[in-house]
Amino acid sequence: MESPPEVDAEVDETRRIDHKQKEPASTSPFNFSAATSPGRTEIQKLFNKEFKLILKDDRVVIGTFFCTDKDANIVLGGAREYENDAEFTSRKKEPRFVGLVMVNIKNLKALFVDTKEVQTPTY
Amino acid sequence: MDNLEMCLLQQAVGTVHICRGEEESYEWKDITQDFLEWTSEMQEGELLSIPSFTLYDAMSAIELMDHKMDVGLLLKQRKVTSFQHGVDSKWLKLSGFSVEEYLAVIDRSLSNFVLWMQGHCVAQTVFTFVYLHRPQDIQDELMKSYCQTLLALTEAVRTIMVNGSVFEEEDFQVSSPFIQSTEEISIPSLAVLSKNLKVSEDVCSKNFRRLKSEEGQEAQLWNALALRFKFCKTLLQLLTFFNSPGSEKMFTEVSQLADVLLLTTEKIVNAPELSEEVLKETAGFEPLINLHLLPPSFPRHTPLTLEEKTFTFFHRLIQQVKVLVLLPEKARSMESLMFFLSTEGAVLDTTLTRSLAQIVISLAVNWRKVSVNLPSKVSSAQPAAADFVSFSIRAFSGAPVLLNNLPQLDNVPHARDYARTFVDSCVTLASNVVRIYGMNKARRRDALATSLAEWFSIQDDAEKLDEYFNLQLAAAKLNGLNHTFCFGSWTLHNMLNIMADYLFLGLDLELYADSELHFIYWYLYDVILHCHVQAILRADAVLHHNEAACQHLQDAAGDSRKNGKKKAGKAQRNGVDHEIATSPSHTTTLARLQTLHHLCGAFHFAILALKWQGKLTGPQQSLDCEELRYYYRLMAFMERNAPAFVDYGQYQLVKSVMARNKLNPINTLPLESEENSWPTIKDALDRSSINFQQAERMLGIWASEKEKVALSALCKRNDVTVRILATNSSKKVEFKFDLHPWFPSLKLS
Repeated sequence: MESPPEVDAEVDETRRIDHKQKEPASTSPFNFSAATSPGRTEIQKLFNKEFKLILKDDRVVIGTFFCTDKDANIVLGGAREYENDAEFTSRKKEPRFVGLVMVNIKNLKALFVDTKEVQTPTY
Repeated sequence: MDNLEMCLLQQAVGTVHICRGEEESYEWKDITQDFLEWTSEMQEGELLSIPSFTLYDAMSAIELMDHKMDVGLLLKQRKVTSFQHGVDSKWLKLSGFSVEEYLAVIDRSLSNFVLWMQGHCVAQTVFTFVYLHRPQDIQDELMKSYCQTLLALTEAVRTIMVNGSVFEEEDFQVSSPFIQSTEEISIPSLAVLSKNLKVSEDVCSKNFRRLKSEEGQEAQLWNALALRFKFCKTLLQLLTFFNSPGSEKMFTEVSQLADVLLLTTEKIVNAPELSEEVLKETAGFEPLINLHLLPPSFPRHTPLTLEEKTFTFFHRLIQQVKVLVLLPEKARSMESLMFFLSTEGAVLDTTLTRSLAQIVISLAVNWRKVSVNLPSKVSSAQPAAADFVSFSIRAFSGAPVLLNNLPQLDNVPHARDYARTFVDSCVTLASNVVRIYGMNKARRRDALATSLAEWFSIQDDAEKLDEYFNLQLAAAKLNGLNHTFCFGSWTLHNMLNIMADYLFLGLDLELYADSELHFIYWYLYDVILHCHVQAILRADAVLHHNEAACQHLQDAAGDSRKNGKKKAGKAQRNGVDHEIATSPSHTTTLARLQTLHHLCGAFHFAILALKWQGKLTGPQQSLDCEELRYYYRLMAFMERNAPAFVDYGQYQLVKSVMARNKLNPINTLPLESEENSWPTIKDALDRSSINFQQAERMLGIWASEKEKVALSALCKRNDVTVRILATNSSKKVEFKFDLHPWFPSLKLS
């Protein structure tokens, strides 16, 4: 009688070997430290700058840019939320403090960075 | 410090000072498309971040546009964002309320008020009532005075909670953000509020009388409204008493107000109420209105209604206040105070009344006031804590070294100093214990276990001091006075109290499995309560001995004096007599302990018999380790000398000795000799039955009416069950904690 599990095991075995052969032993799949490209350099320049996010529901979030990934998930620190852009510009109302937030670019209407040179205080 | 740390720090301390000032501006550049291109160059799984930012940090971020995490999405659903917005959009009306509207608003806001007292956030409960944001803008006088009263009530409760300081985060949130606008609101004084409320009440009563003859429900509604105004007025007056205590007549007045409140709440509860639907649709409430003020990770869910009816809760609360009125009398010595707290005081289960109890106790004993002159006479107004403790010890065991009127003591070197140091260290422990008894049950259990260690160390000191003083008293020729066990018995009494309550709280919190009950009751019966009863008996003996010896010594001193001085000596002696006479006798404490001792004994024997009969199904034996459970449950008592910890081996031995001496253990019995086992199991059940009967007989000496009824019913029921079990072995037994939280009733099934 045929025994399918055995065949499966054999296929698995070969696959595993293939996988090993394809992958160079020297680099781990999660080691990106060496990778550089123009885009990455541009992103690195943006770190610690103020971002303004306009969400799909018109809320405005201001925060410091900390982190991103391939899917353009943006992590901001010390974020404040305003109900809309007008409220932000008028500064009549205190914002809601949200803290550390993450948002995907798909949920944004627009993304702005503050280009004004600000002296960052050293702590 | 880098930016991330700074942000996290600001998040932790909850301040936002990273917004730029008004004068500063931004120069925004749109990078939406660029950013997408740049990130597309990255690889799957790659993370570009500032140094020290890890994936773990990213995981703790709040995801915007996510329905579960993003509160901002909810904010868009709000009907109104502020009081002004509500007024402008005609959602809030400022005058022309109907009587139903008044009632609905009051009932719903009071229910929110109760939710807040039960531990929910103030911004999500009390202040979802939008009128509270600007009561001064309300034109309608009735509504205005009610809103101002509610604010005053909120403030009064908050002050009580803070002063009592026995709440934990699960009981009450004192630091939760208050509405900013409350700072702008000035609450009128109590006199003004009371007057306004009286006027409101009169208006309602007038309407009630006017409409009484007419058909329809309106007259009844006006009457209900009048009752609510009266309730608010009286409650506010009552709570204010505790925030500005002073006069000695305070408790008489509190008692009178409580009676009025009880009557009013009863009337309100019995009157027809508005339906849930009407309450839910009341205008003026916006549950989401303060959401923007809460920290981002704050729990969002707050129940809209109470489990029990608002006024049923208030009725319960006021009944507890009535119990509190009795407290000042009982807070004369530690013994009577603890007795009160563990008997009648056990009903205080709301955070507010627990805080009130602490306030009342601190009115009776000033824990912070250190006695200058020790030992001194107990002052009538407010004894310092040291005087309170030394009075307690003197009344408990008649420690000679703490007696005021023994001039011979001054000749004993260091006697007064040592006694003072000892009493001072007892003050810290005693105040701590009193505070612990104000906590909620779960916290109390933990805190009691911690405080045991402190009592244990002071127990050592107490015994050493007793020994030293005994030698010194003999050297000073104060024969007849006995210091053995004077300090030691007092500390031991408190320690055993804590130990027993620790185990009883475990029963109260339903921590123990049925299979664990046996060693709990056995430990209480054979070790803790047994020791405790002995300790009290010894202390009582020492007290009487010293009392007599002291009198004898003074008579002798009086005889040698001249007649004029004799009179003074007599007066002084009368003082001693008076002190000892007013000290609570040990009768009630002893009776209560003996009752508990008998009850624990009864359960110990009953469960033992049930075990032998194989009627208790424990966990599967291969998966169970009783030894481990034993040590886990009694861990708090390990490494304690007084009383020495009884380890599992001894417990096993006790079980087996019992089995060997009187009864044959069931597991070694061959099946055919089952008949032989009956008298033995019957023995255990008989002893259990006797213990139940004895316990019931002692109830009359100490128990309050309510406890007496419950425990008496429990004893009678269990006595019958146990006797049935002794004759009929076929019935199964269940434990049901329905009559008393500490002791189950045995149910046949």
